Amino acid sequence: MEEIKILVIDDERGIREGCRRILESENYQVAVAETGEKGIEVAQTDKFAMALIDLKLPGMDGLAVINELRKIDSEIVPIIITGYGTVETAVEAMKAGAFDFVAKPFTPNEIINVVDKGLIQIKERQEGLELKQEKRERAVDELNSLSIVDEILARYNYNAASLIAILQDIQKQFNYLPQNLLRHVALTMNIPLTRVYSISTFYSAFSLKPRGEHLIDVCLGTACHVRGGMNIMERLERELGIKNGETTYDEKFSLKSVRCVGCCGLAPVVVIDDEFHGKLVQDKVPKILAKY
Amino acid sequence: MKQYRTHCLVCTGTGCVSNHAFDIKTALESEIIKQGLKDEVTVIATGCNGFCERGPVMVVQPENIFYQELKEKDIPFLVEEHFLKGRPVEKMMYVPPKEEAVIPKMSDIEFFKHQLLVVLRNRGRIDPEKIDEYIGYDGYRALGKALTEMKPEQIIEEVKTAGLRGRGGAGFPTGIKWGFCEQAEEDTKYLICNADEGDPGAFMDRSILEADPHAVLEGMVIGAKAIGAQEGFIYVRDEYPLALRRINIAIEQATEYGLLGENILGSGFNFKLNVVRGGGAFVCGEETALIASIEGEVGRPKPRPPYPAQKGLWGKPTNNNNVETWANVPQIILRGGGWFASLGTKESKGTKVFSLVGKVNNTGLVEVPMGTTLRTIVFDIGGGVLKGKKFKAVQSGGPSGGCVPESLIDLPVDFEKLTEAGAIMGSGGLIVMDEDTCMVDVAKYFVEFLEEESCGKCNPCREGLKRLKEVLTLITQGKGEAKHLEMLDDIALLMKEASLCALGATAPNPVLTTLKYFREEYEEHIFQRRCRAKVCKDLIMYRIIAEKCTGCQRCVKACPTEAITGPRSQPHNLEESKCIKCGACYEVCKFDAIAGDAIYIE
Amino acid sequence: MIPITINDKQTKVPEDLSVLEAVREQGIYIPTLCYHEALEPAGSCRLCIVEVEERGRVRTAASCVTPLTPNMIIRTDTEKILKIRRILLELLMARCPGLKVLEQMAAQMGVKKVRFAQEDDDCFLCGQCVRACSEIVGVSAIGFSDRGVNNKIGAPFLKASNVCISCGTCTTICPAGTFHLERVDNLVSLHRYSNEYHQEKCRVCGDHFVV
Repeated sequence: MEEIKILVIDDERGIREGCRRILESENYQVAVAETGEKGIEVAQTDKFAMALIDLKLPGMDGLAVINELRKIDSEIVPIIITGYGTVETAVEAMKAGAFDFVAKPFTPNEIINVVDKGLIQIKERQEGLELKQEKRERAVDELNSLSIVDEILARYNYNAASLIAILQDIQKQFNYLPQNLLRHVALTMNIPLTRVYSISTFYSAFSLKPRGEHLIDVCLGTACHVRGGMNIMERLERELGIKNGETTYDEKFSLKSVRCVGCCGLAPVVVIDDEFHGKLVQDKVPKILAKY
Repeated sequence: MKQYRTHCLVCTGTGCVSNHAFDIKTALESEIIKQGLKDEVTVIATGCNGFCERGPVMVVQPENIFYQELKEKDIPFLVEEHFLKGRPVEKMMYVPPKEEAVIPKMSDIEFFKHQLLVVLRNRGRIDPEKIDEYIGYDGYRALGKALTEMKPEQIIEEVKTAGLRGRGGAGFPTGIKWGFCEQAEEDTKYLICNADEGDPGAFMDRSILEADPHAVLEGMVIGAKAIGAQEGFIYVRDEYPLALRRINIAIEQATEYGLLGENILGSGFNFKLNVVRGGGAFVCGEETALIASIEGEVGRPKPRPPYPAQKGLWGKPTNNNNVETWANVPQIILRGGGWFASLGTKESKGTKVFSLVGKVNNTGLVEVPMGTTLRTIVFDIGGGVLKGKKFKAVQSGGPSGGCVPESLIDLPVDFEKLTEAGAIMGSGGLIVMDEDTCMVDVAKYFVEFLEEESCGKCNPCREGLKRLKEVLTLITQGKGEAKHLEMLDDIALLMKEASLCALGATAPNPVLTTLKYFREEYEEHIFQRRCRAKVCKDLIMYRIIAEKCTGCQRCVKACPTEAITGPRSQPHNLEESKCIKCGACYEVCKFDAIAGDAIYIE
Repeated sequence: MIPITINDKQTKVPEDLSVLEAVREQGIYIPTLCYHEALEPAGSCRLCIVEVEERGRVRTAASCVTPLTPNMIIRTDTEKILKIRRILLELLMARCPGLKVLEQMAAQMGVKKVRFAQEDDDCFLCGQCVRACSEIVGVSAIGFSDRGVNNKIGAPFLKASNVCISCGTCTTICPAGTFHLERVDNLVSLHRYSNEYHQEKCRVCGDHFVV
């Protein structure tokens, strides 16, 4: 884990060193300064996650220090140490941008609690940022995918009779039929969503769930059935730890039974991504899977 | 055209392609160049040769030598020996099961000897991606005749004379069907070619499209002329990429040659053909569901009447035939309905293409005259049952069909005879079953298949299949009761009489025929808790026969649950509590030491 | 008007009727679940099957979707027809135990016991709601999805529909009472596909409408 650094600015040596002792025992890295000016100097040389600042400092006061620290690092989480444990000063400090405050005198636990809270805040903020990033990427993605779908629709002249072919092409592109794209198709072609949904659940070619990187089709046509296709299917289910119709947790394989691929001479047959594996016996299954 | 002394016809049907036929072709071509034979030997990629079991296969002409189970690494040797030194290579030739001598010539091999090729006449001899090769064998001559010399009524009359019946399942007379559509008074009419071959174990239509797509196109244009249709649709399964590719190429080439599109052959007749990819639903083989699917709807059947001949695609008169039916048409027009009617039996004329699969030695695609006996098909052409096991039944007609038992092995196969036996012709899938096939399990298999494929619209089919499965599952689990047989009969009656479409109405057939011919197997499951074929897992246990076990440890390695233990060279031990009855040991045992024995429960 | 025979009685009926309408006009009982005068017939429940004879050919047909032809002979109460209906009803009762509409029919048709494993569905997929929503209301907020035994009725993705106008037609038409509408103040919930709407009461007519 990355080390978390905390800056303590207080003119009272007892408080400074007390905080250092408590926080270091919790495995934080601590830097101290006795005045606001010195604290700002230190902050310029290193990145601190959090700063504990005495409200009443000689020279520059605590609120001004918060402002300056913010200018150096907007992400720093400032916490005020106040000697006057009144609501007014605390509120004022919070207004000035402090994340929290702790009143003197405090116990080690109080300090640890307030620092922990601050860290949670940092973590959430980071996650929020990532989420926003992801959302933005998804939006770009969606924009791209919508334009791909639009191209497909245009190729078929927005003709509702070609709906099955349109969905086949969309699936070829995206590996499955994402919900938002189906909604887009219905909206653009001006047909009820129920019709698009009916078709995409009726025909076995379509999947509404993402499928694995490799598609395993186990032929269970009659010829394969009488030549033991079901045993091959059961072996695959055991090897992959999934059932017919499911996708492995790592999204590597999707397993599906199909009804006759028309290679009855090779029965029993398994087709993995367009490659045929014929005249199979169960014992060969692990070896074949290992190839992918 | 350039002349070559030798033609290598490499099969590139889906069966052989799955066995890397295209790699063989590439290897042949580069080896021929390498050995300086490129002006003497040519390589042609043909459609399905039919003998899928032995793929990848190749025929060398003019000698008519049949090579099988080719491997890339053997190609240099083959080219050197055969094409350079003129010594055909025996080790790549066909040896019949249980014999030793090779049969070099294709025409001498039993599998091919009994066949009569009408629909498949171009299989394995032309490159389906080259229209010139099709034309070279009389291709599009029938179209010329139909467009320039014949009136629509005459075309229909010729098809009626031929006695051609629909090859998709029901066997309705094609000429009469065309007549209905021709008489419909509408300006816009449509044609459909049903290539949504959904029967498990059937691949006739795919092979025809892959081997001779122009025959289907030609048939459709002739049909369009007869009916007065301006536009047609070929509905192909999306799982048939090669067939799709070849039909698209064929349409492109035919359009370029003026055999499709505007003013065909200068006759003023226009016909446009579109390819529609299926979405994967067995029920779309049903006409009204197929039409809904082409319209971009869910493939749920609609009540008939109105029939498609009056109100079909977009409410217009529509005629639908399957691939094989269309492929028969050019030959009928060219050689005359009388010639066609001279083949086959009284009620069923012409030939029929079957896919012969299952527990049979020579899996593949065969075309025989109607009326050929099951015995000829299974034992002469098919070479009998795999591994010398005992023949039990042939399942005909897919999930709508039924099982024909050994006692009817001399049944001449035609529409009437199969229907009498309780099966149907269907699209032509013949699945051979041996003593290791459990007939209750087979019935359950088809019911499960249909349960997944039923559209779910009407109650008898949806609820009926669910309950057939429920009852059959109980029986195969050893929880059967006497009343279950009656319940099966009741559901079957309901489905047969009250279902909305043919899928539901014929769905009980596999159950009914197995009940009729193999009732004792049902009774054994129910009353003795015994599965004689050793298929139903709840009724069997595996054990090792100590006297036969050599202690080779193959099964120890194969067992996924470590149920089998034992040191090398000593009989192994199978721990029953760990055994999941997967049969992996049985598959690898070379000494028949592992038996799946039936359990008796008192 | 064309002549037909229903259960051995000759009569004349308008030719644009369906077999079901012609029979019901004679006051003869035929059970139906998917049929509704206001909707296009679907022919999916199959309870209305009868035996029809045309030009000497006898077949079983769903009367709601079978057009009349001159001299047609219709039999609604042969032993076979009644038996098939009983089996069908038994299967539906196994699917939806305790549904009033089915139990009433069972009493009338003499279905006494159900031999199959009971499920706990409350919808037998007659599709009247789906057809009403598209044919009468014109919004197609609900439809069929999936197929076969997994066939179900609902809004797309089985989430709240954004085109539903909460008119409640589906709730009114449902013969099973499966769809129902619950109103708490101005909030209307359509059960079975979790839609909620704010409605206001009209000061003139007192009906509610979506805001």
